[in-house]
Amino acid sequence: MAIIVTLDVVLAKRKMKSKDLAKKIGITTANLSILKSGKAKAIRFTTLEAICKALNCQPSDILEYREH
Amino acid sequence: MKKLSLLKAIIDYIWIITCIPLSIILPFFCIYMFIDSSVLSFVFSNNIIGTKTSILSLQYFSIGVILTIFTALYCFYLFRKTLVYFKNAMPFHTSVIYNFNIIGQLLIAVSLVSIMLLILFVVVLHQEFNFVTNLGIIPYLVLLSLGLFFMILSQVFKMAKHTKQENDLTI
Repeated sequence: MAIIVTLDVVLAKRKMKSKDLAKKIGITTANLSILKSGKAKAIRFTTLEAICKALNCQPSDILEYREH
Repeated sequence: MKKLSLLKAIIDYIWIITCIPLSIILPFFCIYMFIDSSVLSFVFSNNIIGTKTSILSLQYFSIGVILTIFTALYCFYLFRKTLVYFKNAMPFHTSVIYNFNIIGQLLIAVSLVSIMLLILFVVVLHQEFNFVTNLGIIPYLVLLSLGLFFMILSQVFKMAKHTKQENDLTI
C-alpha cells in the first residue's frame, strides 16, 4: 500500500511501548500490531484521534504517502 | 439458529433414508439391468420395454439417468457438508464459497443433461418417458434456476468474505 504507517518511529521518539499505547487508546495489542505492520486496510477517525491525543502528534506524523 | 438445526436434521434424515440406500442400490441396478432387463420397468413403463425401442438403448438411457442421480446425490452431500460450516459459525469459509459454486455448476449440468435425455427420448425415439407424464419439464427448469441461484450465492458469499476481511482489518 502507498500509505505507510510510521507509528513505530513516533513511539520510539516518545519512548513509549506498544502495549502502553494500546492500553491508553483502548485497542488490543494485536490490532495495534496490525496497524504498525501496515496490514490494516483502514483506520477509524476515532482511533486516529486517540493515537494523536496519546502521542501528542499530528496525523501526518504517523501516516506517510509514498509513491511506488 | 434453531432453523439451521432443523434444516440440518431434515437434510441428515434425507441423507440417511434416501441418499445412502440409493448410492448402494444404483450401482447394483446399473449392473443388474444388463443381466435381467425386466428391472428396467422401474424406470420405464412396461409398454415401452421390448416394443418400439431396443433394450440396449433403454439401458444406455438408464445409465444416463443414474449418472444424473449420482451427480444430484453428490450435490446433496456437498450441501450437507456446507451446513456443518454454518453450524460451526464459519459461514465465510473458503470451502463454503467453493462448495456453493460446485453445487451450482453440477445442478446446471444435471438439469441440462436431464433436458437433453428427455428431448432425445421424446423427440428422437418418439417414445413416452414416465418422468414426462409424472412431473413435466418444469422440475428441470427449477433445477437450472437453483443451480444459477447457488452460483450467485457463492458470488455473494465471496463479496461478503471480502467485506468482512476489510472490516476486520479496520482499526
